[in-house]
Amino acid sequence: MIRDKELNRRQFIKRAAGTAAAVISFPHIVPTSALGKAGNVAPSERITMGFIGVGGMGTNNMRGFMSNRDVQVVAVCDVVKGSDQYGHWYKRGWKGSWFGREPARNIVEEHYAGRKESGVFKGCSAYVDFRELLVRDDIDAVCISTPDHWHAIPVIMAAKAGKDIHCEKPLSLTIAEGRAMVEAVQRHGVVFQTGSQHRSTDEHLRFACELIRNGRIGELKRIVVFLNGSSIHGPWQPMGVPDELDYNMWLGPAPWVPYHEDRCLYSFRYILDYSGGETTNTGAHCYDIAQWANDTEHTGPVEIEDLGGEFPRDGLYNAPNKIHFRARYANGVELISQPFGRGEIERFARFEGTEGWIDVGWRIVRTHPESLKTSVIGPNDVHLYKSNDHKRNFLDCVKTRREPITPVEVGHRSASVCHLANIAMLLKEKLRWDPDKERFVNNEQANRMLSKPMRSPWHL
Amino acid sequence: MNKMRKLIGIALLGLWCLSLHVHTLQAVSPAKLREVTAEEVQKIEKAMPRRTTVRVRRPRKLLVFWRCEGFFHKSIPVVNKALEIMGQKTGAFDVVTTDDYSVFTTENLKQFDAVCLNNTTGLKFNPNETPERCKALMDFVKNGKGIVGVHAATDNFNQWAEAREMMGGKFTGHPWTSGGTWAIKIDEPDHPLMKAFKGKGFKIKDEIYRTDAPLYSRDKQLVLMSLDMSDPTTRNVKGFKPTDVDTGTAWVKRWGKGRIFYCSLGHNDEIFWNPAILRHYLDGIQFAFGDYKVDTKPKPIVSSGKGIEMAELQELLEKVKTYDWGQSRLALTEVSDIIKKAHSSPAELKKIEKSLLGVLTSDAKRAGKQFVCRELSIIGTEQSVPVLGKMLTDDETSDMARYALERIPGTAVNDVLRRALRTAKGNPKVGIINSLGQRRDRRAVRALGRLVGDSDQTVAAAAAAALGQIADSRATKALAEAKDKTSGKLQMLVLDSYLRCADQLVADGKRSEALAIYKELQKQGNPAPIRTAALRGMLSAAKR
Repeated sequence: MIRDKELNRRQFIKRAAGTAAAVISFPHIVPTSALGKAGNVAPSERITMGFIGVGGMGTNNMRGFMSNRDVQVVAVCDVVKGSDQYGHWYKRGWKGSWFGREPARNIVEEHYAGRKESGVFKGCSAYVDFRELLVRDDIDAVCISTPDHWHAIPVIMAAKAGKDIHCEKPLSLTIAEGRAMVEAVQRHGVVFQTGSQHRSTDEHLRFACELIRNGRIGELKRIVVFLNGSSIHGPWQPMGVPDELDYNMWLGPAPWVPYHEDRCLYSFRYILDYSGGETTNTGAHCYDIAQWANDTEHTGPVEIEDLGGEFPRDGLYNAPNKIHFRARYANGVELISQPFGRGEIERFARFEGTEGWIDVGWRIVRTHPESLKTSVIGPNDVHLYKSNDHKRNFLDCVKTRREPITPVEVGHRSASVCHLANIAMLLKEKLRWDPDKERFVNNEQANRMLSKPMRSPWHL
Repeated sequence: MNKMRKLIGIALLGLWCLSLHVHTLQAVSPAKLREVTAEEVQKIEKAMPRRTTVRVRRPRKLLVFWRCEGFFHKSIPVVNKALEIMGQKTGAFDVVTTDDYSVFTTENLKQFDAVCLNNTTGLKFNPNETPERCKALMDFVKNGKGIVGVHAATDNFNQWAEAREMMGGKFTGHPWTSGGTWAIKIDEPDHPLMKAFKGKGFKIKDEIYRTDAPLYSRDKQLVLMSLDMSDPTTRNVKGFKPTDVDTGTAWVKRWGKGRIFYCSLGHNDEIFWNPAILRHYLDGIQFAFGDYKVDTKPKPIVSSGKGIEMAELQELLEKVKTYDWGQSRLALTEVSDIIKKAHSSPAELKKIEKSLLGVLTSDAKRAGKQFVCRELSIIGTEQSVPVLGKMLTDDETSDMARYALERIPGTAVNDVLRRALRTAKGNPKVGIINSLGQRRDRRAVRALGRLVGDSDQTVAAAAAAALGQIADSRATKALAEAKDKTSGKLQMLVLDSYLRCADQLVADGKRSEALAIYKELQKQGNPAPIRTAALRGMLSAAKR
């Protein structure tokens, strides 16, 4: 019942919210036939988005979302005006590319160039401060691709503003921040997707998990994740802050320290004030799949033990350069994360059960018995959430108000495994964890590490 | 074809080199030991004490076991010979030398007065797989016999925790290698077993094993001598860890009714024609037999700050005082390591905390002080509150002080935050408000309620958010009043905090009070997200 062409989706919902029922249960305003249909998308079906964090990953995300015809990007936000320095020895593909808010804005405006003439597209704003983006009434959903220490506050504020949220993995910098995000998202009932895109892009992962959940390898006993740590940084000297970076805003809630070019852009993830190193960078994916297979997505281990993790003793980076730990679950399953040498399967996991095993790589799946590879998951078997496109899944859920494949609690629990591991390795201890209370048992020092105090004026 | 041959040749060469390498690493235990040369025998005899310290009442019998499942020490045949000569020359004991496990039965062990583990490694004693063997040895000791451990004797019992405890050590590495000369200090110069060294420390060329807590502990064994870290060569060895400051090289302990004597020296052959060391071993063996009655009471490190670590820590903290960003942070890492090692000892931590506070009150740079605050955030107690409290109002130190304070539990922290709030300005003021909210300090509600009306919007916003965190009845009241007195962005925050108060009421079981607030917030005129959340709150409260 749309008369006014200019009436966007949010306004329509607001007007329709005459009764409690309409506000809460959000009946299918958009008929399913409209989902993903080609051709012009009616305003009521269009999802307007803002992008908080448009560095390398953020711009990638933006492009991905923009390729959906029912998305309209109206705002980007980044503390970097524009830089071609995002390229890093880990990310050769980014070398020389321009990222940041102005390059992102240009990409958006070019994409919608045709529609600007017709008056449908009013241009893309570029903000430094994400709070200005969040007060905009015309934005339905945000995609947050900031460094980890800048996940919690934008997510919580976005939830408070009623925006649906797609947030990069790892969900959080600390377990306390993760829980606060869950509470805010659930309190405000917004749709939330954690960027664990492997659940969608890699069908073989879901297949492997379904094999395990359906007992095809007997009882799951052990999960081994192969993960190497990050590198050690040489001597460094404080540098002048480049013009295009609002460094104070970049630091945000993290403690003040002088600028160095390897602190920001890509390599923030090797410094524990901003991230959790490879434990979170790649681990968040691996342990997420492990939890999915183990059916512990909404809980966590009961024990976490350092098996010899190592941290750089000097230099700028302090994230673990060797990751080695063991987590034990209440159901008896053991999750071990250990370094891998040449010849071993790179990343992801090996699942060992009483009647077989499954090796899962980025592409390969090896099984024992071999016949498992062609095993069929029958109609009466456990079927896991199927998504072929992580961003599309989010967008569909924005419309149907259903839970996406990696909702906030699941993202929080996966990130929690990473944080527990880093804490155990930092303390060099074996710790008992209560996944219901989300506290360590009998270890005050470990419990203090569940949160990081924030620099003024920031708070959760 | 030539290329193929070349490749095969290289491959074979590689394999051969690898096999050599493996040999050097494993030092495979030979089936038969080499003969000790006449020259070596002469050296041993010349150095050997003629008499025992304690008169031999009746000749004893020593089982010398030398089996190696792991690394084989080349000194083993020399040690065997030396012990044989020792027993003969002094008339104190007979020696039976073997590497056959069958000696470890209750019956077979009866004849011996002590078992000497001569550089044994990886011995197959497993309570699950060889229960009888384990019982035989453990009963042997506990019922009143002895063990003499030579050098690698602590490289055993991986599967048998009780035996590791009994030995008081487990090999994990030897930064002090056999080619180096290391300094040893005599911890118990007056102890009978140390008479051989005449109370003076010495330097020795031998391989020394690292000793790790908690298996190795001065609480559990009487340490007779240890590495002297005041010697730069010994202290600066490659791979030195701060936890190595106390590396024991000989000790005694009781085990049940039995006795343990261990000495780390014994990798190099020449140890066994060193007169003082032979005297030391002889005395230790007589102790193990039960003939030489000596003090075995452990001497725990007195907690008066005189522990070895404290000296080390003080030295490092001087470096922390001059540390600035961009320099090597190695000293800081070493401080962290020392602190980590003390984690299970509140008494030690208290001393360390005091030393750390010394850095905060010095003219250390911002970088050094921030590091100290990070450490205090983990181990700090009320002891730190006064010093940290004084840092709260200064722009440069406020955030780092709160980094520590926010994580330290207890009311003293809340008190000092509230006190500082009175005089704080700018960012420090906002930070203190945030910390009070984070800590859910109810006694701050009155001050926060007033600050919601502050002319500084950032202060007001922080106060509103903090009240929402505390969410007790007085905070709820303050927010209820504030929502009608505020507008725009600030009002939005007040309403959100008010909403959180309603959530808290539900959690406390006060449903009707909560519903009243939800109903109020659901009304027209409130911002849409507030209304939506209020509605959700209403529905979920109704469900319970």
